[in-house]
Amino acid sequence: MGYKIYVPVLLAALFVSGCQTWSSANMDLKDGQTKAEAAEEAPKKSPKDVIVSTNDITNRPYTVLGDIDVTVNKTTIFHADPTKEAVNKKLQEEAASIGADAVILVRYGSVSVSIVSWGSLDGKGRAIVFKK
Amino acid sequence: MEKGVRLFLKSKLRVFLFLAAGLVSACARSSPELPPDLSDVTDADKAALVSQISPKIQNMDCSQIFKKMRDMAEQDKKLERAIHANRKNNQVAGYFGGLFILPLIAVETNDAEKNKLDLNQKRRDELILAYQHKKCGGQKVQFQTKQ
Repeated sequence: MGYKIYVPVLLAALFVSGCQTWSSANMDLKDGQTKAEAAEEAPKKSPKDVIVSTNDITNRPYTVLGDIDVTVNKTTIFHADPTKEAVNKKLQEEAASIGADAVILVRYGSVSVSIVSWGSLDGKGRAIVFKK
Repeated sequence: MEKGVRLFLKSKLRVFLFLAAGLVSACARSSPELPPDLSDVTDADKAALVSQISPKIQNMDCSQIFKKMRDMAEQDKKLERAIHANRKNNQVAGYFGGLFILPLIAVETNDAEKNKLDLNQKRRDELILAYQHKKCGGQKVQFQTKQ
């Protein structure tokens, strides 16, 4: 009897809450570094300053820091599907945390139902830092 | 006995839900793999890699490469719109699929569009390799976002 009340209340709470999406990320860094190690050495950077590009950058020399793989999931079936912009934002956050200047060669999957969400969208990119 | 039957039904339900979830998530298309990192590769090694891509791309000049990339980006948008158009239908079918197996058949997987998107990404990586090799860096590289 009890769960009949709890389930709609929980769903309503999720629906009205601001948690439209939740996300996860993986990093495969060069030199076998962990994210924590890279973040410790990296200069503080704002995610907004990180360039995201589906192409390569050929007019500025750079060093590759590693590959980033992120997934953005919508919280409930009632929320809007995750967008490429949300994936870009997550890529920028992850890249900024390791001091990257840009994420290049970005590619996206297609929004689809996954085992953990009614709508998941993943994206990958290569984090780089420009040579001074 | 009754407890045993209940346990059996419960485990059957678990298997069914697991299979249904697996079937629905099988329609998922994850992002294509990143190309190999060529930042530390010599020009000679890059030339060897370029020789493996299609002769049509090898013979393109910089402006043709950039035009092809723009055309492919337009084509990708159309394919994504076609996939997106079926999302609501798929979610409803998936939701009822949790109760009855038959509606799962109604899920439109858009396999043709998804395969084409993957193929386009593979070709885009070849075009990027070609423009790196031809040193097309003088042309402005379009950034997707700078927020």
